[in-house]
Order: sequence, then C-alpha cells, then structure tokens
Amino acid sequence: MIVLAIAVLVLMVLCGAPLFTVILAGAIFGYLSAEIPLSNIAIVMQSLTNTPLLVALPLFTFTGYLLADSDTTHRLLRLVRALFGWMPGGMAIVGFLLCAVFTALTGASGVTIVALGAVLFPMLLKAGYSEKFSLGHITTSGSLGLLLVPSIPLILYGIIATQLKVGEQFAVKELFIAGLVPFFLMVVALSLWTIVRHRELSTTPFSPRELWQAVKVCRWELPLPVFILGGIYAGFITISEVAAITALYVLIVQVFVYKELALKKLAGIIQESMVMVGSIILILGSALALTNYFIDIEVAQKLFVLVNEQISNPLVFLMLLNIFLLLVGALLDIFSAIVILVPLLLPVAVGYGIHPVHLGIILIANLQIGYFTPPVGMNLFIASYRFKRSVLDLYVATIPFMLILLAVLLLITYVPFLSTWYLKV
Amino acid sequence: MLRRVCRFFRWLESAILVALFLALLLVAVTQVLLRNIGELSFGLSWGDEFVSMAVLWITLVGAMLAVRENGHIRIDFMEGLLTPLWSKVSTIIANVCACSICLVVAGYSIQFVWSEYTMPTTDGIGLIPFWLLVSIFPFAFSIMGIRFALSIFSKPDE
Repeated sequence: MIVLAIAVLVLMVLCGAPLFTVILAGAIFGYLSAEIPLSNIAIVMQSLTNTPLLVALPLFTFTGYLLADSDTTHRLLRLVRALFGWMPGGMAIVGFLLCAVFTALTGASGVTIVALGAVLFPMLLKAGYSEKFSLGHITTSGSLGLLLVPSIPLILYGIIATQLKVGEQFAVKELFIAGLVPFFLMVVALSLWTIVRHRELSTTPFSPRELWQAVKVCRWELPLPVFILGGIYAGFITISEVAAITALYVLIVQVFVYKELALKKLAGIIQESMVMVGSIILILGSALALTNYFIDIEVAQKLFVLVNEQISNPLVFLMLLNIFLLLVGALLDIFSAIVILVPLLLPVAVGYGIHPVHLGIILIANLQIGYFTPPVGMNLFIASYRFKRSVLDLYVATIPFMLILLAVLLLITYVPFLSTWYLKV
Repeated sequence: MLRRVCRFFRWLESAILVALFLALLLVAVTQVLLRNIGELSFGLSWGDEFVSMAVLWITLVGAMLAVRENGHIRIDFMEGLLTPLWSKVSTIIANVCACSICLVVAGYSIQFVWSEYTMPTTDGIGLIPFWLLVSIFPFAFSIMGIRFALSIFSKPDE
C-alpha cells in the first residue's frame, strides 16, 4: 500500500500534476491507511479559514498586483534617487531598498525584476555601474525584502507555525519584528560591498528642489510604507486590519486620484490576483489536511529521532538545514516549499532547541537566496528572459551577491539573538 | 447552445469572484472603522463570519478559475526534457490523476455538507445556513474535476 501510494505521488509530480492534487493524494492515502474519515479533508480546509490572519493574504496580494500595474515604480524611484543619489554607491543602495520594499509588497513572484528592474537597469548603467554588476544587482534584489512585512511568505509561515502549536508559542507580530535586523544586515552588507567597489563613481549632486518635486508627485503613496510598517510594528491595529485599509487606500488612490487605472481594468486585476490567492490557499489547506495525518502517525517525532541518531549537535543540524533549504529554494517555489516543509521541519528544529521564530527567519532567508541559486533558481530565468541575457551570464553576475548574502545567512543562523532579541525567552 | 451556457458560466464565475473580493474589502474595512473609531468598539455581528466565509469562497472559486487558466502551481522538473509524444502522455496522466483526486474530495465533502445539514454544529450568516455556505466544497471540487477531465481532450478553456 505504502509503495503504491508513493509510486502514484512520484508519478503525479513527474507528470506535472498541480501541486495541490499531489498533496491531496498524499492526504487521501494517509487518511485511508490511518482510517481517518475522508470528509475530514473539507473540514480541515474550512477550519483554516477561521484563522484571522488568513484574510491578509487576498488583501495584500491585491494591493501588490495593483501597485505593480501602476506607475508607482517610476514615482518611488525618482524620490529615492533625489534622497540618496548624492551618496557614493547611492543609486545601487537606493535600488536595494526600493526593490526590497516592492518585493515585500508584491511577493517575489518576479514582479520586482520585471516591473522595477526594467526601470532600474538602465538607470544603474547610466550611473556608471557595469552591466554585470547591474544584472546581478537586480536579480538579487528580486527576492530581497521577503523578511520584511507584509511579505506573503512571512505571513504564510506565521499561519502554519501558529496552527501547529509546537515549541514556544509566539505572536505573528514577533515574527515580523524578528525579520527586521536580518533584513537590514543583508542590505548593509550589500551596500558596503557596493560602496567599496564603486568608490570612484560620480554621483548626482543633491538638489532640494528635485527632492521637493519628487515628494510632491509621490505624496499619495508616501504614507503607505509608514502606515503598513508603523501600524504593524507599533501594534495599534492587527495585520488583517492594516491589510484591509491598505487595499482600500491603494484602490482609491490609483483609480480616483492618479487615475492610472480604468475601472474596467480593475476587475481584471482583482480576478488575476484572486486566482493566485485561490491556488495558494488551496495548497495551504491541502497541506494542513496532510499535516493532520502526519500528526496522527507522529511522523515529526519519528523524523526527529531518526535525524537525532545521526546528528546530535544543533550547530551541525543548522548547517545541514541551510544546505538542504538552499537546494529546496532553488527547486521549489517559495509557497510550496513553506507549506510542505514547515510542518515537518518545525517539530524537528524545536527538538534541537531552536525557537520557531528563529527557524522562520532562517527558512525564509534561505529560500530568498534559493531564488537566484544556480542552476535553477527562478529569478535567474526571469531576469534572463527580461534582459535577454544568457542564464550563464546571470550565474556569473549574481555569484558575488550570493556569497555576501550567504555570509549574512550564516550570521543569522548561528546568532539567534539577531532574530530573537525582542522575545522574552 | 451548450457553448453559450458555458460562456455564461465562465462570465458568472469571474463576476462572482470579483464581487466576493469587493464585498470582502468593504466588510473588512467597515469592521476596522467600527472597532477603532471613537467610543464605538463594536463590529458588525456577522462581520467576522462573513470575512472568513468570503475567503473560503474566494479560494475555491479562484481555484476553479485557476484550473480553467492552467494557473495552478506545479513542479515542472521534466519540462523540456520530454519528447512531444511523452509530454502529451504525461499531461494526460497528470490530468487523469488530478481529476480523480478532485472527484474523491468532492464526493466525501458531500458527507460534510450533509452532516451539517442534518446536525448543524455551526451557525450560518444571518438567514444563510452553514451547510449551504460550505456546499461550495463539493461544487468547486466537482467543477475542477470536470475541467481536468475535459482538458484531457482539449484545452481547459473550451
């Protein structure tokens, strides 16, 4: 029976069946063997929708799609250039920050590279950066910012980890705060390297007038990051509430104030983003149904015993975890990876005394780097397609960036304090 | 005739999805305003249930559309490695499996709906009983199953 089940699952994956059907097939086989009624699948999926955080997914995804479809990228770019363009390496640093904010808002679905990269790439070249550096910069930045609120992978991890109730309990807000320092470390490391490499580059002089103009054009979008980050980090209102207000605000601003979006087109954007949300939440629901079976047969405990026989040192475990996750990040898309791995990894990691919040940060940082890890990191292909360069060129261009981020990854893996300083442990 | 019915159904599907999202947005924002402004710290009594049901419906209707548009996430290790004949064979296998899985889930979720119908455990929203709200499960999974089956013979769009 087990052999047959695994054979079917492998066949489905190889033939390219939709992921949610593969996971559901696993759940069905599992329920049958553990004699759990199959009607529980629908019940588990329905109970998932009682998670208050879940509503943030459709709302933030819609906001991201809406922003990606408007001229926000041009306006923001102009503003940050006016702000930081005078600094050595300023243009590149601005690029990192902007891409990060944009990725946090839209998810690393390649939107950053396609929409923002198209504007940023020629600007970097014009500012005197080499083509190789600029390509590497944009490909890397396409997933920078996943540790920043309101990135969907971060929210997704929060939903799953709090549903599992393993290890120390935490509030999702704590996960968001935990991502801050590791994120800034990444930006600082990349920026320092950029500055050291490009000391001789000329910069644009600071102009208060241009800054004022840029602020004026952006004035409707400026409150957005402040509201989202401030609202969530300061804790006045919940994430779902921030998501609702943000979505409505962006809708009103783009359609009625900037008038960049016809009402007709809006329906298309809603549909497109909700189809995406539907497929993500369906995978999430299917994975929880499967997790139910895993909990029933105590697979995580068995996995822990198995791993623990081989590796007794938590540091070695973390090292191997990093290597494993980098591979996963290069092969699987980030949503599937989180949904499938967290229920299995979290109990094992907790067994080694790793805090769930710390694990979440390690996991997402790894998957973030996996996005541009050769040979199959997805952003390498998106950038190759978008900028008409060979994938090999992109491998070469991104490697220095990857090495820097790997160094930061090691730091945040082995210094838990960087992510858990906020928690009262 | 059949073609026109199908076209209408597809239009309706999209319209429902868009309407659900707009309703979700409005109710969610209203809840925030009612809860946080001034002395009023109450929300709509049915607001939270509505929001979670809207998310459920958006998920399933969105997933139905994703089958139509071939937009479900899949792992395509093998893409580009197969000859055209084998890639056709693998698509057929994938669709047959996906179709059967969806129909199994659809079938068993009828049990869930039925038990809620005979012995309700959860309140619905206003006049709409809970079993009717969750009957989207068998419906959506059946449609997905049928679409996977149809795409064995043609593009999912037709």
